Amino acid sequence: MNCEILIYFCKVLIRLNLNKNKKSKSPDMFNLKSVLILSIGAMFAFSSCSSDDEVIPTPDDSYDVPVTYNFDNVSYSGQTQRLAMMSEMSSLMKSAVSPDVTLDVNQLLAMYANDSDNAGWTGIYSKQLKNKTFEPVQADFETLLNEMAAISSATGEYAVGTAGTVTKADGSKTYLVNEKGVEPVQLIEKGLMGACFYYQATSVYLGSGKMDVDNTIVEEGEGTEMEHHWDEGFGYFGAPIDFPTNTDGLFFWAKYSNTCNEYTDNNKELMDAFLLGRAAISNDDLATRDNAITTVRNVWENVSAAAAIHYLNDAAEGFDDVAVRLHTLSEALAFIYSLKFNDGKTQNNDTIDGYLSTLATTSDITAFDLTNITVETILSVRDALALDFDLDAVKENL
Amino acid sequence: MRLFSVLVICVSIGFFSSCSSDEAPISSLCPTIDEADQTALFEFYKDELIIPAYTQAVSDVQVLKSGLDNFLNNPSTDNLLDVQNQFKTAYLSWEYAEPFYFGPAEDQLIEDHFNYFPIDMENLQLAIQNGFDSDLTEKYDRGFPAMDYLLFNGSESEIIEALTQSDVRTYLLANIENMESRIVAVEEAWRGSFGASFVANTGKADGASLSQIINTYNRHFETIKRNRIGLPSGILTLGFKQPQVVEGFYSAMSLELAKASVAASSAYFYGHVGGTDAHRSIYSLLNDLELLSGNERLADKMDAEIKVFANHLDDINGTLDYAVEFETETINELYQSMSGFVVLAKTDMPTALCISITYVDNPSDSD
Repeated sequence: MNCEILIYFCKVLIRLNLNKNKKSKSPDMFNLKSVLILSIGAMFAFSSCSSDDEVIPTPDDSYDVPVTYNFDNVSYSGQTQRLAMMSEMSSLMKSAVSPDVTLDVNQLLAMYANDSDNAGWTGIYSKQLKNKTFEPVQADFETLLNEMAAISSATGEYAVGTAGTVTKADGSKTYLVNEKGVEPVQLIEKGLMGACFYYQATSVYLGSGKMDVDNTIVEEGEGTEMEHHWDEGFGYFGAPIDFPTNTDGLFFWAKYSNTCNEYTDNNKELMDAFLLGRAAISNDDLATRDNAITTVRNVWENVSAAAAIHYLNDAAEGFDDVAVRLHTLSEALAFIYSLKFNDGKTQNNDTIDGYLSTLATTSDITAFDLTNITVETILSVRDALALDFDLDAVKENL
Repeated sequence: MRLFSVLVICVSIGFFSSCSSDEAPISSLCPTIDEADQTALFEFYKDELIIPAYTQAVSDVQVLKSGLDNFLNNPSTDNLLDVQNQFKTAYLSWEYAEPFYFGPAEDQLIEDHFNYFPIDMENLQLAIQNGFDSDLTEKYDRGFPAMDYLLFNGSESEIIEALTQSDVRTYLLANIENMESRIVAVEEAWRGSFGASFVANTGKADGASLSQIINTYNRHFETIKRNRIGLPSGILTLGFKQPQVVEGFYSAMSLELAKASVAASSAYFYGHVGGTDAHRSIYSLLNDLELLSGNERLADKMDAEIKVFANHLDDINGTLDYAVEFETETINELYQSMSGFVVLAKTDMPTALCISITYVDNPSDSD
């Protein structure tokens, strides 16, 4: 008889026990008793082993990772609410292209801070977008909301120096841009995807403040504190639990991940990392969890960089159509801006500000100017992004 | 608990099945500190460090209060200059009282009322409009940061005009009265029954005086690292620099205040400010007990690292808000050296002394 059998036996006991631990807050005497009986049995069964092995049971190689986000006690309703709130805000802001629609800035600010009496929501929400936005930039978004409301009363066409609408040559789409050719709704929507959703997921929920927490006490319906934080991070991605097999009902980030997936394969990479990290947490395998955190941060950053390149390609290609140019550049700027909000970002703010200033004369999101942009500039930033974010091989395709 | 029982069982299986192996010591030994040494230490802190710091701060706050009265009754450039100087003196004195955030200081929520920065401009405007409410807390609308803004933002004539508005005037007087009454109460408690119970409160339990000292020393150091350096420099905020959140932004005192807070932290550790020599302190305690970190004396290690970050701080010029934008390398070195010191102060020292760290620096707000 050797010690390996004993080690294995202990591992199984610990595994059984850990799993039991996850199920309930209340002590389970039956479990303890069965463990005792099994242990006494074991004492007799394996009573003569030699001594050289290191007997340190490590419970991290024996659990399954499910193929969908179908774990016990998953809850991220707060995140789902915020995605829905952002959708409502975007719809309202986009309705302002109509000459008949003028937005009330107080309503927009009320939506942002969820002052529900003045927000005029269709749904019922208890959460807030503003207080989860990266604090130093909250005021910038309020400035943009003010601008959005101010230009919503414009009824004419855009010209340099005059806010107004731009319509695609084929007549299929109309956008509302400010006097510098920037479409504020894109900066607000995609910018908050970065400064709120992406920030909360990659920097807050996957950060040490929310990950170095209890992982033993199970709250019914929410799991352990650590499990719950992980789930909340996943909630901000906006994907169904069986993503990417199922690509229906995608919100925000999941939608843009899917847009570029053909060339990046980010859908599966990101989803697998979320699944692995959650399984690791439920099995108290923190080393694997830490690897999953790194993967989520890196892949999600790649999603944003790829989306930016995608829109820069559209802008270069459709450059002569003013509506296409301004709309896609506004999207690209916001995806580049978003790159700042990841605690594991691979490029620093100075580099990111450099891309923004090259495209829009300034890195200040409230003061972008697209009136002097050229195809050469667009392609130079695209190429720099592709190199910096390891997307060079697919930059023409995105 | 159950995991523990399983481990015990596994260990016992190992034992019964003669699976022997070299065992690491289960726990290191906790040092014994004589009662008399403890009370002498606490007495020293009370009489030589804590009460003098509060006495100075009380006196300087009272001078500031009468200077403010004088200015508001006779608004002039000269009187403004006087009150600005009195403000600076009082703010610097406060830095030496700030570390001792337990007992009466905690009862009075003295940090909240004296020095929650940066000022929240919206809440300050509300407090000016609606009247100062001494019961409201966590609003970042009061204390030195409010005066820093009101006494220093703008040209002299703009400041004088703003300060003499009746609602601002009322606010300022209420704010300084609130500060005075709270700090007087803290000083009195230290001179009275709290001081006596502090000296007698020996042992290592949570809430015992040694635990209060070790905890508040760490807590204060972390506020220096986080609030005075980490947040404005962007090190803790994804690289977004926020120079305007430094302490004393409007009076341009940020560097002086940071140096004072580091000096106050050192005084707490070494048991003296400047010249005083014969003393008892955390440092002397670690030395007397010959506590180790690795193979080195913990006291020596901490002493060496304190000098390292003090040197980095000395390398900074001008104001902290300037430095976080233009002297980023020095700021980064400063922050890194402070982070290294936290490992010694918050992990190695409490472990060696067998004292628990009980304060929570960042409450979680999950939803």
